[in-house]
Amino acid sequence: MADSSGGAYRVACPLPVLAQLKAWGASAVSRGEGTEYVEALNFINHKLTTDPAGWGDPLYPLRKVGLMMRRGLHRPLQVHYAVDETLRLVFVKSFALLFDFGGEQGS
Amino acid sequence: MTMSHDLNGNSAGEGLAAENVRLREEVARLQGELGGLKQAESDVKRLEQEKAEIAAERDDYLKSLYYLTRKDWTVTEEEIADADKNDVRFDERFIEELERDLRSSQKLTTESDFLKTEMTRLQSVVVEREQTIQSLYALLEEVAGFSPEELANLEKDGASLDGVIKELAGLKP
Repeated sequence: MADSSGGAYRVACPLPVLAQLKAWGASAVSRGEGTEYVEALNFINHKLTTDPAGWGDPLYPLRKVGLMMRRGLHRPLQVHYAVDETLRLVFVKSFALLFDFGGEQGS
Repeated sequence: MTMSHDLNGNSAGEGLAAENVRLREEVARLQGELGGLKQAESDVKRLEQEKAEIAAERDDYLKSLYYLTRKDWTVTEEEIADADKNDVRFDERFIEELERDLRSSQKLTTESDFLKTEMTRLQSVVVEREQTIQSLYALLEEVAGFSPEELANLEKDGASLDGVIKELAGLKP
């Protein structure tokens, strides 16, 4: 369900995860799979900035911080994240590549 | 003037007087019998009334039994009514059914006790499972969640995906 009340969400991704995404992307480009990879990353970015709570599946509660861990999937990537509705902020925990995409492993 | 006499030599007047006395006695006796018949009729009506009351009371008990036992008896109300009409006893059959129900009831009690024990055991299992889930959540939160410090750092230093997407889109194979 798309959010329509408070504008876009800000995505906060750890720098090591961004570095991993770059490395996977470069590898995908060199194999000729760059387009699929970048399209997936674009799709995920769109979902995280517009409807993060409605898109990802809830996994388990994070009681100490009062959030819900979620997982979103769009081939060949999946992302684990939590959403703070008050701050309208998406905290990215990690990305992972699906096992059949270029033999890479998750971050 | 001559007077008529009967064969005993009594005059006609004397005969009539005697007949009159006999008839009066007969009337008195018949009146007594009539009184007795009226009393008997009254008794019959009273007994019929009592019989109806007893039948109604019996039906009430039967309905109470139906209510208390809440089962379908094989002896139906119609059968009991027929038995009444035909002077057939149904009490033995009724008691036999009660005994059979008692045995079923004892069996159900045993099953109920078993189920109660099983429920207690399952409740313990549920509590244990819930504790395990809570432990797993805590573990997940520890290894695959966010600590408050981590969230604070991400809020401050985390970056969007835009830069990576832009950079990768510019790469040529």
